[in-house]
Amino acid sequence: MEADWEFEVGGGAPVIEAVWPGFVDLRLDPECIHQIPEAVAFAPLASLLLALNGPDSPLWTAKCDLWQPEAGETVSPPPPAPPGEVRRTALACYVDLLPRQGRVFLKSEEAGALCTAWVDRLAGIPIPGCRVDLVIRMAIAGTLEGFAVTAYLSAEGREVAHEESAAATALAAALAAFAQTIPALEAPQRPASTLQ
Amino acid sequence: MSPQAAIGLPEGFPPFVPRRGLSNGHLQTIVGNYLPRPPLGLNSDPEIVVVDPADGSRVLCQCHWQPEPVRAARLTLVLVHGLEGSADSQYILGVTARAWAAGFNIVRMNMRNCGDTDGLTPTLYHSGLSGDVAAVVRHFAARFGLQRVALVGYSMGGNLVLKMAGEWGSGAPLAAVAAVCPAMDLAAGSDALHLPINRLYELRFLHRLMVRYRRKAKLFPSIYQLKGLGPIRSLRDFDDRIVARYLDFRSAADYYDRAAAARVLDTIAVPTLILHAQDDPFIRLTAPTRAKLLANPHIRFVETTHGGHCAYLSRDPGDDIHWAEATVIRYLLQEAGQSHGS
Repeated sequence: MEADWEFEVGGGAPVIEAVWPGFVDLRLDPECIHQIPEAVAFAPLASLLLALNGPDSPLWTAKCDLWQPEAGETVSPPPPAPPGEVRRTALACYVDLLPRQGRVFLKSEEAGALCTAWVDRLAGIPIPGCRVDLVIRMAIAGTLEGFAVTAYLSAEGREVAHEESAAATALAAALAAFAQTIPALEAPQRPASTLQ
Repeated sequence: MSPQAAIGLPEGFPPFVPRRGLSNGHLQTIVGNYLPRPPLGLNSDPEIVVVDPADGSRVLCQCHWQPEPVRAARLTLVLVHGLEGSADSQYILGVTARAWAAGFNIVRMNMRNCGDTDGLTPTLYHSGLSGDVAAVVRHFAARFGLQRVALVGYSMGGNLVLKMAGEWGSGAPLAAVAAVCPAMDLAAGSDALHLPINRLYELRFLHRLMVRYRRKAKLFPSIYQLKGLGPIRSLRDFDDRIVARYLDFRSAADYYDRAAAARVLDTIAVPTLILHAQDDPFIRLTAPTRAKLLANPHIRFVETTHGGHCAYLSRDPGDDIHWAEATVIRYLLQEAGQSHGS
Protein backbone atom coordinates (compact mmCIF):
# COMPACT_ATOMS: atom_id res chain seq x y z
CA MET A 1 0.00 0.00 0.00
CA GLU A 2 1.06 3.57 -0.42
CA ALA A 3 2.18 5.21 2.81
CA ASP A 4 3.37 8.64 3.85
CA TRP A 5 3.52 10.90 6.87
CA GLU A 6 3.62 14.62 7.61
CA PHE A 7 3.46 17.21 10.38
CA GLU A 8 0.35 19.32 10.77
CA VAL A 9 1.16 21.51 13.73
CA GLY A 10 0.32 25.16 14.43
CA GLY A 11 -1.32 27.70 12.17
CA GLY A 12 -4.84 26.67 13.07
CA ALA A 13 -4.17 22.97 12.55
CA PRO A 14 -6.47 20.64 14.50
CA VAL A 15 -5.44 19.62 18.01
CA ILE A 16 -6.28 16.11 19.15
CA GLU A 17 -8.24 16.10 22.38
CA ALA A 18 -7.65 12.52 23.41
CA VAL A 19 -9.95 12.24 26.40
CA TRP A 20 -12.98 13.75 24.73
CA PRO A 21 -16.55 13.45 26.08
CA GLY A 22 -17.33 10.34 24.01
CA PHE A 23 -14.01 8.65 24.74
CA VAL A 24 -14.20 4.87 25.23
CA ASP A 25 -11.15 3.41 26.94
CA LEU A 26 -10.69 0.01 25.32
CA ARG A 27 -7.57 -0.60 27.41
CA LEU A 28 -9.77 -1.01 30.45
CA ASP A 29 -12.57 -3.03 28.90
CA PRO A 30 -12.56 -4.51 25.38
CA GLU A 31 -16.27 -5.20 25.72
CA CYS A 32 -16.95 -1.48 25.39
CA ILE A 33 -16.18 -1.76 21.68
CA HIS A 34 -19.93 -2.00 21.17
CA GLN A 35 -20.17 1.65 22.25
CA ILE A 36 -18.22 2.72 19.17
CA PRO A 37 -20.68 2.79 16.24
CA GLU A 38 -17.96 2.81 13.60
CA ALA A 39 -16.52 -0.41 15.02
CA VAL A 40 -19.93 -2.04 15.15
CA ALA A 41 -20.49 -1.07 11.53
CA PHE A 42 -17.13 -2.37 10.27
CA ALA A 43 -15.67 -5.39 12.07
CA PRO A 44 -12.11 -4.90 10.74
CA LEU A 45 -12.03 -1.53 12.47
CA ALA A 46 -13.19 -3.15 15.71
CA SER A 47 -10.40 -5.68 15.44
CA LEU A 48 -7.82 -2.96 14.77
CA LEU A 49 -8.96 -0.90 17.75
CA LEU A 50 -8.80 -3.88 20.09
CA ALA A 51 -5.37 -4.85 18.78
CA LEU A 52 -4.06 -1.31 19.25
CA ASN A 53 -5.45 -1.14 22.79
CA GLY A 54 -4.44 -4.66 23.77
CA PRO A 55 -2.17 -5.35 26.73
CA ASP A 56 0.81 -6.03 24.48
CA SER A 57 0.37 -2.91 22.37
CA PRO A 58 2.62 0.10 23.01
CA LEU A 59 -0.23 2.37 21.92
CA TRP A 60 -3.76 3.44 22.76
CA THR A 61 -6.42 5.06 20.64
CA ALA A 62 -8.53 8.12 21.31
CA LYS A 63 -10.95 8.59 18.47
CA CYS A 64 -11.89 7.07 15.15
CA ASP A 65 -14.26 7.55 12.26
CA LEU A 66 -15.40 5.63 9.20
CA TRP A 67 -16.82 7.18 6.06
CA GLN A 68 -17.29 6.86 2.33
CA PRO A 69 -15.18 9.50 0.58
CA GLU A 70 -16.38 11.23 -2.55
CA ALA A 71 -15.06 9.85 -5.82
CA GLY A 72 -11.49 11.05 -6.32
CA GLU A 73 -11.06 12.09 -2.70
CA THR A 74 -8.67 9.25 -2.07
CA VAL A 75 -5.46 9.50 -4.03
CA SER A 76 -4.50 5.88 -4.41
CA PRO A 77 -5.22 4.42 -7.86
CA PRO A 78 -7.52 1.41 -7.71
CA PRO A 79 -6.30 -1.92 -9.01
CA PRO A 80 -6.73 -2.75 -12.71
CA ALA A 81 -10.34 -2.97 -13.73
CA PRO A 82 -11.71 -6.47 -14.27
CA PRO A 83 -14.24 -7.20 -16.99
CA GLY A 84 -17.74 -6.18 -15.96
CA GLU A 85 -16.69 -3.11 -13.97
CA VAL A 86 -19.65 -0.92 -13.15
CA ARG A 87 -18.55 1.74 -10.67
CA ARG A 88 -15.86 2.89 -8.29
CA THR A 89 -16.33 3.10 -4.55
CA ALA A 90 -14.14 4.14 -1.67
CA LEU A 91 -14.07 3.63 2.06
CA ALA A 92 -11.89 5.38 4.61
CA CYS A 93 -11.30 5.61 8.32
CA TYR A 94 -9.02 7.33 10.76
CA VAL A 95 -7.69 6.42 14.18
CA ASP A 96 -5.86 8.70 16.61
CA LEU A 97 -2.80 6.93 18.04
CA LEU A 98 -1.01 7.78 21.27
CA PRO A 99 1.81 6.06 23.17
CA ARG A 100 0.72 3.94 26.11
CA GLN A 101 3.76 5.04 28.06
CA GLY A 102 3.50 8.73 28.78
CA ARG A 103 0.03 9.00 27.19
CA VAL A 104 1.20 11.55 24.55
CA PHE A 105 4.43 11.95 22.57
CA LEU A 106 6.60 14.45 24.40
CA LYS A 107 8.44 15.64 21.30
CA SER A 108 7.25 15.79 17.73
CA GLU A 109 10.56 14.23 16.68
CA GLU A 110 9.68 11.08 18.62
CA ALA A 111 6.42 10.77 16.75
CA GLY A 112 8.24 11.55 13.52
CA ALA A 113 10.80 8.79 14.06
CA LEU A 114 8.03 6.34 14.75
CA CYS A 115 6.04 7.41 11.70
CA THR A 116 9.14 6.98 9.54
CA ALA A 117 9.51 3.40 10.75
CA TRP A 118 5.80 2.67 10.31
CA VAL A 119 5.73 4.09 6.79
CA ASP A 120 8.82 2.11 5.79
CA ARG A 121 7.15 -1.07 6.96
CA LEU A 122 3.65 -0.35 5.61
CA ALA A 123 4.86 0.77 2.18
CA GLY A 124 6.29 -2.70 1.63
CA ILE A 125 2.95 -4.45 2.06
CA PRO A 126 1.35 -5.25 -1.28
CA ILE A 127 -2.30 -4.24 -0.94
CA PRO A 128 -3.51 -2.60 -4.16
CA GLY A 129 -5.85 0.36 -3.99
CA CYS A 130 -5.01 1.29 -0.40
CA ARG A 131 -3.03 4.00 1.25
CA VAL A 132 -2.22 5.17 4.73
CA ASP A 133 -1.39 8.75 5.69
CA LEU A 134 0.02 9.47 9.12
CA VAL A 135 -0.39 13.02 10.38
CA ILE A 136 1.41 14.24 13.49
CA ARG A 137 -0.66 16.75 15.42
CA MET A 138 -0.58 18.45 18.77
CA ALA A 139 -2.51 16.52 21.37
CA ILE A 140 -3.96 16.97 24.82
CA ALA A 141 -4.72 14.02 27.10
CA GLY A 142 -6.20 15.25 30.35
CA THR A 143 -3.55 17.52 31.84
CA LEU A 144 -0.83 16.32 29.50
CA GLU A 145 0.11 18.03 26.27
CA GLY A 146 2.30 16.75 23.52
CA PHE A 147 1.76 15.09 20.16
CA ALA A 148 -0.24 12.25 18.67
CA VAL A 149 -0.61 10.61 15.28
CA THR A 150 -3.77 10.46 13.23
CA ALA A 151 -3.68 7.46 10.89
CA TYR A 152 -5.89 7.83 7.83
CA LEU A 153 -6.48 4.61 5.93
CA SER A 154 -8.36 4.61 2.66
CA ALA A 155 -9.21 2.19 -0.08
CA GLU A 156 -10.75 2.37 -3.52
CA GLY A 157 -12.19 -0.43 -5.55
CA ARG A 158 -14.02 -1.02 -8.75
CA GLU A 159 -17.25 -2.81 -8.07
CA VAL A 160 -18.49 -5.69 -10.11
CA ALA A 161 -22.25 -6.02 -10.24
CA HIS A 162 -23.82 -8.14 -7.50
CA GLU A 163 -20.59 -8.45 -5.54
CA GLU A 164 -19.85 -6.95 -2.17
CA SER A 165 -17.73 -3.84 -1.89
CA ALA A 166 -14.21 -4.22 -3.20
CA ALA A 167 -13.29 -1.05 -1.30
CA ALA A 168 -14.44 -2.59 1.98
CA THR A 169 -12.43 -5.70 1.23
CA ALA A 170 -9.34 -3.66 0.45
CA LEU A 171 -9.74 -1.49 3.54
CA ALA A 172 -10.19 -4.61 5.67
CA ALA A 173 -6.90 -5.90 4.29
CA ALA A 174 -5.21 -2.58 5.01
CA LEU A 175 -6.52 -2.50 8.58
CA ALA A 176 -5.41 -6.07 9.19
CA ALA A 177 -1.93 -5.25 7.90
CA PHE A 178 -1.88 -2.09 10.00
CA ALA A 179 -2.91 -4.05 13.10
CA GLN A 180 -0.15 -6.58 12.52
CA THR A 181 2.52 -3.97 11.80
CA ILE A 182 2.02 -1.01 14.07
CA PRO A 183 1.92 -2.55 17.56
CA ALA A 184 4.98 -4.61 16.69
CA LEU A 185 7.09 -1.48 16.36
CA GLU A 186 7.82 -0.12 19.78
CA ALA A 187 6.75 3.43 20.56
CA PRO A 188 9.21 5.71 22.38
CA GLN A 189 8.87 5.35 26.14
CA ARG A 190 9.49 8.80 27.54
CA PRO A 191 7.48 10.79 30.05
CA ALA A 192 5.27 13.56 28.71
CA SER A 193 5.11 17.10 29.98
CA THR A 194 2.36 18.24 32.30
CA LEU A 195 0.32 21.37 31.75
CA GLN A 196 0.91 23.98 34.42
CA MET B 1 -36.15 -18.25 17.36
CA SER B 2 -35.97 -15.53 19.99
CA PRO B 3 -32.61 -13.85 20.58
CA GLN B 4 -32.16 -15.81 23.79
CA ALA B 5 -33.32 -19.18 22.56
CA ALA B 6 -31.17 -22.16 21.83
CA ILE B 7 -32.49 -25.16 19.95
CA GLY B 8 -31.49 -28.49 21.41
CA LEU B 9 -30.17 -27.36 24.78
CA PRO B 10 -30.53 -30.09 27.46
CA GLU B 11 -33.25 -29.51 29.99
CA GLY B 12 -32.13 -27.39 32.92
CA PHE B 13 -29.14 -25.91 31.12
CA PRO B 14 -29.01 -22.08 31.21
CA PRO B 15 -29.74 -20.59 27.79
CA PHE B 16 -27.22 -18.38 26.08
CA VAL B 17 -27.97 -14.68 26.46
CA PRO B 18 -25.39 -12.53 24.69
CA ARG B 19 -23.46 -9.90 26.58
CA ARG B 20 -25.09 -6.51 26.44
CA GLY B 21 -24.07 -4.82 23.20
CA LEU B 22 -22.50 -7.99 21.83
CA SER B 23 -25.34 -9.48 19.85
CA ASN B 24 -23.32 -8.97 16.67
CA GLY B 25 -21.49 -12.11 15.59
CA HIS B 26 -18.38 -10.23 14.50
CA LEU B 27 -18.15 -8.31 17.74
CA GLN B 28 -18.63 -11.50 19.75
CA THR B 29 -15.84 -13.15 17.76
CA ILE B 30 -13.42 -10.22 17.97
CA VAL B 31 -14.05 -9.30 21.60
CA GLY B 32 -13.85 -12.97 22.56
CA ASN B 33 -10.38 -12.99 21.08
CA TYR B 34 -9.20 -9.96 23.03
CA LEU B 35 -11.00 -10.33 26.33
CA PRO B 36 -8.39 -10.80 29.06
CA ARG B 37 -8.61 -13.84 31.31
CA PRO B 38 -7.00 -14.71 34.60
CA PRO B 39 -3.93 -16.95 34.31
CA LEU B 40 -4.57 -20.68 34.53
CA GLY B 41 -2.70 -21.15 37.80
CA LEU B 42 -2.19 -24.90 37.30
CA ASN B 43 1.05 -26.71 36.65
CA SER B 44 1.14 -29.09 33.72
CA ASP B 45 3.19 -32.13 32.80
CA PRO B 46 4.40 -31.84 29.21
CA GLU B 47 4.51 -35.10 27.31
CA ILE B 48 5.45 -35.82 23.72
CA VAL B 49 3.32 -38.46 22.00
CA VAL B 50 4.22 -40.27 18.78
CA VAL B 51 1.22 -40.00 16.46
CA ASP B 52 2.71 -41.48 13.30
CA PRO B 53 5.55 -43.98 13.73
CA ALA B 54 6.01 -44.12 9.95
CA ASP B 55 7.40 -40.62 9.70
CA GLY B 56 8.17 -40.03 13.36
CA SER B 57 5.57 -37.31 13.79
CA ARG B 58 5.01 -36.34 17.40
CA VAL B 59 2.74 -33.90 19.19
CA LEU B 60 3.27 -32.07 22.46
CA CYS B 61 0.57 -32.49 25.11
CA GLN B 62 0.23 -30.49 28.30
CA CYS B 63 -1.32 -32.74 30.94
CA HIS B 64 -3.05 -32.14 34.25
CA TRP B 65 -3.48 -35.35 36.22
CA GLN B 66 -5.59 -35.97 39.27
CA PRO B 67 -3.87 -37.93 42.11
CA GLU B 68 -2.80 -41.41 41.08
CA PRO B 69 -5.27 -43.38 43.21
CA VAL B 70 -8.23 -41.82 41.42
CA ARG B 71 -6.66 -40.93 38.07
CA ALA B 72 -7.81 -43.92 36.04
CA ALA B 73 -11.40 -43.67 37.22
CA ARG B 74 -11.79 -39.98 36.60
CA LEU B 75 -13.00 -38.68 33.24
CA THR B 76 -10.09 -37.51 31.09
CA LEU B 77 -10.63 -34.67 28.64
CA VAL B 78 -8.51 -34.39 25.52
CA LEU B 79 -8.78 -30.79 24.35
CA VAL B 80 -8.09 -29.85 20.73
CA HIS B 81 -7.61 -26.24 19.63
CA GLY B 82 -8.55 -24.49 16.38
CA LEU B 83 -6.61 -23.43 13.29
CA GLU B 84 -3.34 -21.76 14.29
CA GLY B 85 -4.23 -22.03 17.96
CA SER B 86 -2.37 -24.12 20.49
CA ALA B 87 -2.70 -25.90 23.80
CA ASP B 88 -2.33 -22.47 25.36
CA SER B 89 -5.21 -20.83 23.49
CA GLN B 90 -7.43 -18.88 25.84
CA TYR B 91 -10.51 -21.05 25.34
CA ILE B 92 -8.46 -24.19 25.95
CA LEU B 93 -7.17 -22.76 29.22
CA GLY B 94 -10.71 -21.72 30.15
CA VAL B 95 -12.06 -25.24 29.67
CA THR B 96 -9.05 -26.63 31.52
CA ALA B 97 -9.73 -24.54 34.62
CA ARG B 98 -13.37 -25.65 34.71
CA ALA B 99 -12.57 -29.28 34.00
CA TRP B 100 -9.96 -29.38 36.75
CA ALA B 101 -12.45 -27.90 39.20
CA ALA B 102 -14.89 -30.66 38.17
CA GLY B 103 -12.31 -33.31 39.04
CA PHE B 104 -11.30 -34.34 35.52
CA ASN B 105 -7.88 -35.16 34.13
CA ILE B 106 -7.01 -32.88 31.23
CA VAL B 107 -4.77 -33.37 28.21
CA ARG B 108 -4.25 -30.16 26.25
CA MET B 109 -3.13 -31.43 22.87
CA ASN B 110 -1.18 -29.36 20.39
CA MET B 111 -1.86 -30.30 16.81
CA ARG B 112 1.26 -31.08 14.80
CA ASN B 113 3.55 -28.03 14.57
CA CYS B 114 1.41 -25.94 16.91
CA GLY B 115 2.68 -24.59 20.20
CA ASP B 116 6.18 -24.07 18.74
CA THR B 117 6.62 -27.75 17.87
CA ASP B 118 7.47 -27.42 14.18
CA GLY B 119 10.56 -29.54 14.70
CA LEU B 120 8.61 -32.53 16.02
CA THR B 121 7.22 -33.55 12.63
CA PRO B 122 8.28 -33.31 9.01
CA THR B 123 4.65 -32.82 7.94
CA LEU B 124 2.23 -29.93 7.96
CA TYR B 125 -1.07 -30.25 9.80
CA HIS B 126 -4.60 -30.26 8.49
CA SER B 127 -8.24 -30.92 9.35
CA GLY B 128 -8.13 -34.60 8.52
CA LEU B 129 -5.62 -35.72 11.14
CA SER B 130 -8.17 -37.37 13.41
CA GLY B 131 -5.74 -40.25 13.72
CA ASP B 132 -3.52 -38.00 15.81
CA VAL B 133 -6.32 -37.49 18.32
CA ALA B 134 -6.91 -41.24 18.41
CA ALA B 135 -3.20 -41.85 18.95
CA VAL B 136 -3.17 -39.47 21.90
CA VAL B 137 -6.22 -41.17 23.41
CA ARG B 138 -4.66 -44.62 23.00
CA HIS B 139 -1.33 -43.46 24.42
CA PHE B 140 -2.70 -42.06 27.66
CA ALA B 141 -5.37 -44.74 28.05
CA ALA B 142 -2.68 -47.41 27.88
CA ARG B 143 -0.28 -45.56 30.11
CA PHE B 144 -2.68 -44.81 32.94
CA GLY B 145 -5.45 -47.34 32.37
CA LEU B 146 -7.93 -44.54 31.76
CA GLN B 147 -11.48 -45.82 31.84
CA ARG B 148 -13.30 -42.90 30.25
CA VAL B 149 -12.04 -40.27 27.85
CA ALA B 150 -14.00 -37.35 26.42
CA LEU B 151 -12.94 -35.16 23.52
CA VAL B 152 -13.47 -31.41 23.34
CA GLY B 153 -12.65 -29.48 20.18
CA TYR B 154 -13.01 -25.92 18.99
CA SER B 155 -13.53 -24.93 15.34
CA MET B 156 -10.98 -26.97 13.34
CA GLY B 157 -10.38 -28.99 16.50
CA GLY B 158 -14.13 -29.57 16.61
CA ASN B 159 -13.98 -31.13 13.18
CA LEU B 160 -11.09 -33.31 14.30
CA VAL B 161 -12.81 -34.67 17.41
CA LEU B 162 -16.07 -35.31 15.57
CA LYS B 163 -14.23 -37.06 12.75
CA MET B 164 -12.29 -39.13 15.26
CA ALA B 165 -15.52 -40.06 17.08
CA GLY B 166 -17.20 -41.08 13.85
CA GLU B 167 -14.27 -43.29 12.94
CA TRP B 168 -13.86 -44.68 16.47
CA GLY B 169 -17.40 -45.88 17.11
CA SER B 170 -18.48 -46.84 20.62
CA GLY B 171 -15.39 -48.62 21.90
CA ALA B 172 -13.85 -47.80 25.26
CA PRO B 173 -12.49 -45.56 26.55
CA LEU B 174 -14.31 -42.96 24.41
CA ALA B 175 -17.21 -41.77 26.55
CA ALA B 176 -18.37 -38.43 25.14
CA VAL B 177 -17.54 -35.62 22.73
CA ALA B 178 -18.16 -31.87 22.71
CA ALA B 179 -17.47 -29.57 19.77
CA VAL B 180 -17.77 -25.79 19.82
CA CYS B 181 -18.36 -24.16 16.44
CA PRO B 182 -16.86 -27.12 14.58
CA ALA B 183 -15.85 -26.60 10.97
CA MET B 184 -17.61 -29.72 9.73
CA ASP B 185 -18.23 -28.56 6.18
CA LEU B 186 -14.77 -27.44 5.20
CA ALA B 187 -15.50 -26.28 1.66
CA ALA B 188 -18.41 -24.12 2.72
CA GLY B 189 -16.41 -22.65 5.59
CA SER B 190 -13.43 -21.89 3.39
CA ASP B 191 -15.63 -20.11 0.87
CA ALA B 192 -17.35 -18.16 3.65
CA LEU B 193 -13.98 -17.03 4.95
CA HIS B 194 -13.25 -15.50 1.56
CA LEU B 195 -16.33 -13.29 1.62
CA PRO B 196 -15.34 -9.62 1.80
CA ILE B 197 -16.97 -9.24 5.21
CA ASN B 198 -14.77 -12.04 6.54
CA ARG B 199 -11.55 -10.93 4.88
CA LEU B 200 -10.31 -9.83 8.30
CA TYR B 201 -10.30 -13.38 9.60
CA GLU B 202 -9.00 -14.97 6.42
CA LEU B 203 -6.05 -12.58 6.29
CA ARG B 204 -5.19 -13.31 9.89
CA PHE B 205 -5.25 -17.07 9.27
CA LEU B 206 -3.30 -16.73 6.03
CA HIS B 207 -0.63 -14.56 7.61
CA ARG B 208 -0.04 -17.08 10.37
CA LEU B 209 -0.19 -20.08 8.05
CA MET B 210 2.36 -18.54 5.70
CA VAL B 211 4.67 -17.62 8.56
CA ARG B 212 4.47 -21.23 9.70
CA TYR B 213 5.02 -22.56 6.19
CA ARG B 214 8.15 -20.44 5.75
CA ARG B 215 9.42 -21.68 9.09
CA LYS B 216 8.71 -25.24 8.00
CA ALA B 217 10.56 -24.68 4.73
CA LYS B 218 13.55 -23.45 6.68
CA LEU B 219 13.50 -26.51 8.95
CA PHE B 220 12.88 -29.00 6.14
CA PRO B 221 14.26 -27.40 2.96
CA SER B 222 14.43 -30.71 1.14
CA ILE B 223 10.66 -31.13 1.47
CA TYR B 224 9.08 -27.69 1.24
CA GLN B 225 9.61 -25.22 -1.59
CA LEU B 226 9.07 -21.49 -1.33
CA LYS B 227 9.41 -20.80 -5.05
CA GLY B 228 6.72 -21.49 -7.57
CA LEU B 229 3.78 -21.36 -5.20
CA GLY B 230 2.17 -18.44 -7.00
CA PRO B 231 0.07 -15.84 -5.23
CA ILE B 232 -1.79 -17.21 -2.22
CA ARG B 233 -4.68 -14.88 -1.56
CA SER B 234 -7.20 -17.14 0.13
CA LEU B 235 -7.41 -20.11 2.43
CA ARG B 236 -8.51 -22.15 -0.57
CA ASP B 237 -5.33 -21.06 -2.40
CA PHE B 238 -3.27 -22.19 0.59
CA ASP B 239 -5.08 -25.51 0.78
CA ASP B 240 -4.79 -26.01 -2.97
CA ARG B 241 -1.12 -25.17 -3.41
CA ILE B 242 0.37 -26.23 -0.09
CA VAL B 243 -1.89 -28.57 1.88
CA ALA B 244 -2.98 -30.61 -1.15
CA ARG B 245 0.50 -30.63 -2.66
CA TYR B 246 2.32 -31.85 0.43
CA LEU B 247 -0.34 -33.97 2.09
CA ASP B 248 -1.45 -36.19 -0.78
CA PHE B 249 -4.73 -34.60 -1.68
CA ARG B 250 -5.60 -34.02 -5.33
CA SER B 251 -6.80 -30.48 -4.67
CA ALA B 252 -8.32 -28.25 -2.03
CA ALA B 253 -11.73 -29.61 -2.98
CA ASP B 254 -10.51 -33.18 -2.50
CA TYR B 255 -9.01 -32.21 0.87
CA TYR B 256 -12.19 -30.50 2.02
CA ASP B 257 -14.25 -33.52 1.04
CA ARG B 258 -12.04 -36.18 2.63
CA ALA B 259 -11.16 -34.32 5.81
CA ALA B 260 -14.64 -33.12 6.74
CA ALA B 261 -16.29 -34.65 9.78
CA ALA B 262 -19.56 -34.24 7.91
CA ARG B 263 -18.79 -37.55 6.19
CA VAL B 264 -18.90 -39.57 9.42
CA LEU B 265 -21.46 -37.80 11.60
CA ASP B 266 -23.90 -40.65 11.15
CA THR B 267 -21.50 -43.15 12.72
CA ILE B 268 -20.88 -41.23 15.94
CA ALA B 269 -22.01 -43.57 18.70
CA VAL B 270 -21.22 -41.79 21.97
CA PRO B 271 -23.00 -38.83 23.60
CA THR B 272 -21.97 -35.76 21.62
CA LEU B 273 -22.68 -32.08 22.11
CA ILE B 274 -22.30 -29.66 19.22
CA LEU B 275 -22.64 -25.90 19.76
CA HIS B 276 -23.24 -23.77 16.69
CA ALA B 277 -24.12 -20.07 16.49
CA GLN B 278 -26.25 -18.85 13.62
CA ASP B 279 -24.26 -15.62 13.50
CA ASP B 280 -20.89 -17.36 13.32
CA PRO B 281 -19.13 -15.27 10.67
CA PHE B 282 -17.59 -18.14 8.73
CA ILE B 283 -18.71 -21.56 9.92
CA ARG B 284 -21.34 -22.92 7.57
CA LEU B 285 -23.55 -25.98 7.84
CA THR B 286 -24.86 -27.52 4.65
CA ALA B 287 -28.34 -28.99 4.58
CA PRO B 288 -27.11 -32.60 4.31
CA THR B 289 -24.85 -32.12 7.33
CA ARG B 290 -27.65 -30.59 9.35
CA ALA B 291 -29.87 -33.53 8.44
CA LYS B 292 -27.20 -35.98 9.62
CA LEU B 293 -26.80 -34.14 12.91
CA LEU B 294 -30.50 -34.17 13.61
CA ALA B 295 -30.90 -37.81 12.62
CA ASN B 296 -28.22 -39.17 14.96
CA PRO B 297 -29.75 -39.82 18.42
CA HIS B 298 -26.31 -39.68 20.04
CA ILE B 299 -25.78 -36.08 18.93
CA ARG B 300 -27.25 -33.13 20.79
CA PHE B 301 -27.07 -30.27 18.31
CA VAL B 302 -27.47 -26.91 20.06
CA GLU B 303 -28.00 -23.97 17.75
CA THR B 304 -28.07 -20.45 19.17
CA THR B 305 -29.01 -17.23 17.45
CA HIS B 306 -25.90 -15.44 18.69
CA GLY B 307 -22.45 -16.35 19.91
CA GLY B 308 -20.13 -15.61 16.99
CA HIS B 309 -17.24 -17.94 16.35
CA CYS B 310 -16.08 -19.73 19.51
CA ALA B 311 -16.98 -16.68 21.60
CA TYR B 312 -20.34 -17.13 23.35
CA LEU B 313 -19.82 -14.15 25.65
CA SER B 314 -22.87 -14.19 27.90
CA ARG B 315 -24.46 -11.83 30.36
CA ASP B 316 -23.44 -14.00 33.26
CA PRO B 317 -21.05 -12.32 35.71
CA GLY B 318 -17.35 -12.95 36.19
CA ASP B 319 -15.79 -15.95 34.53
CA ASP B 320 -19.25 -17.31 33.78
CA ILE B 321 -19.24 -14.94 30.84
CA HIS B 322 -17.84 -17.89 28.85
CA TRP B 323 -21.10 -19.76 28.29
CA ALA B 324 -19.77 -22.40 25.91
CA GLU B 325 -17.11 -23.57 28.34
CA ALA B 326 -19.60 -23.80 31.18
CA THR B 327 -22.09 -25.66 28.98
CA VAL B 328 -19.50 -28.14 27.72
CA ILE B 329 -18.35 -29.05 31.23
CA ARG B 330 -21.91 -29.31 32.46
CA TYR B 331 -22.77 -31.62 29.58
CA LEU B 332 -19.75 -33.84 30.15
CA LEU B 333 -20.52 -34.07 33.85
CA GLN B 334 -24.04 -35.12 33.00
CA GLU B 335 -23.15 -37.64 30.30
CA ALA B 336 -19.80 -39.05 31.26
CA GLY B 337 -18.53 -37.91 34.58
CA GLN B 338 -19.22 -37.19 38.17
CA SER B 339 -18.00 -34.15 40.00
CA HIS B 340 -15.32 -35.04 42.50
CA GLY B 341 -14.07 -31.60 43.38
CA SER B 342 -10.46 -30.72 42.99
